[in-house]
Amino acid sequence: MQRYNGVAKTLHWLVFVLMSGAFVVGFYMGDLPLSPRKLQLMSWHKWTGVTIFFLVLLRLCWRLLNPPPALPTGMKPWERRAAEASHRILYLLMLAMPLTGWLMSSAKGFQTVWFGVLPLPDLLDKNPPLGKALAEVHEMLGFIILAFVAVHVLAALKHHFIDRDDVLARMTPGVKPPSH
Amino acid sequence: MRFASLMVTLLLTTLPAAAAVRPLQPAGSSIAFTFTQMNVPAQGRFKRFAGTIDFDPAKPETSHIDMQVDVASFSASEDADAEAVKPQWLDASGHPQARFVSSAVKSLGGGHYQATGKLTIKGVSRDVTVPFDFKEQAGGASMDGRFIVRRGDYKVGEGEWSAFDIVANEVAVQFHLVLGAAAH
Repeated sequence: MQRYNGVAKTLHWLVFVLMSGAFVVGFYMGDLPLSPRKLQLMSWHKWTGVTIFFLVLLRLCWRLLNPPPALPTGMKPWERRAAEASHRILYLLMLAMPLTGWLMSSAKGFQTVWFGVLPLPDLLDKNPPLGKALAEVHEMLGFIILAFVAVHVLAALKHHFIDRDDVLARMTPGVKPPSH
Repeated sequence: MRFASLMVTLLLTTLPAAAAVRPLQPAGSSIAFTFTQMNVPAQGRFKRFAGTIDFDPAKPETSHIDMQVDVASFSASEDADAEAVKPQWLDASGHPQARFVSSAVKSLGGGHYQATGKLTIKGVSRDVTVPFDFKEQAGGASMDGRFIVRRGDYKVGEGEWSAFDIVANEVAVQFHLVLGAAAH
């Protein structure tokens, strides 16, 4: 079995953990009344999002330089196309999510400063109605990501338990490929 | 007759002389502020303010500046605007105006001046020093300056907001005042 290399695995699971955290905090803080706690959570959410954005760029570079192991030979052509497309969409969403957050922060007049230290340039001028619209897009993308991650997880489990191939094992530390 | 003219001369020289009242022109003028939230600066402004600026650059010591800001006109972001007028922040209903009244104005040379006086926010008065530049322009003049207000000194941000780790204590105030020609 050809596994993903250590860097690819580390980045994959690190991004998963950060995305889960950003997702939970993002949904929780959305409806909180303004308070110091909310501002703190918002900052943490933004820092996590920026971190994910850079890690995903890193993942893409790594993936270009180190092509992932080939898909199992038994897959039908439409399954290959679906796998290819859903991975592209996931990468696109993982970049679009932080990007819309960054843009909405700029439009709302609050610059994003990574860990309170590194200011990211404001890509948009302050524009409250646009900020509100981008907040809607950002939230909607959250649900779309949730849906695609669910498909991603279900597909990995289907490969493991139904197709009994090594797709789950080659990315997941501690998981052995199913015995045939 | 002689006595009368002497009295007039005395009055003119001993009365606190009105230097030159220059009408504040709201259009083009701004009173803006920068506050810092978890190390991130954010800008806002007060949309409504008024004042009497009696200033002669040649005799700054005769000046008198009285500025009033309508705190309900706080404008930064939708969330912040709703929050800032509440009692724990600026308390717009209890203390609708913030006010600066100068007690002394002096020249620092080169078009730079300094006004000292009382700044009152939310009913709390503090002595402040406000440096500013004054420029004569066609048909009027402009005054530009920046000073730091420590919000804690004025109880702006009480209760859960009184710590400075999320919203910093120091708020920078920048003003650009457009003045009409002096009325003598």
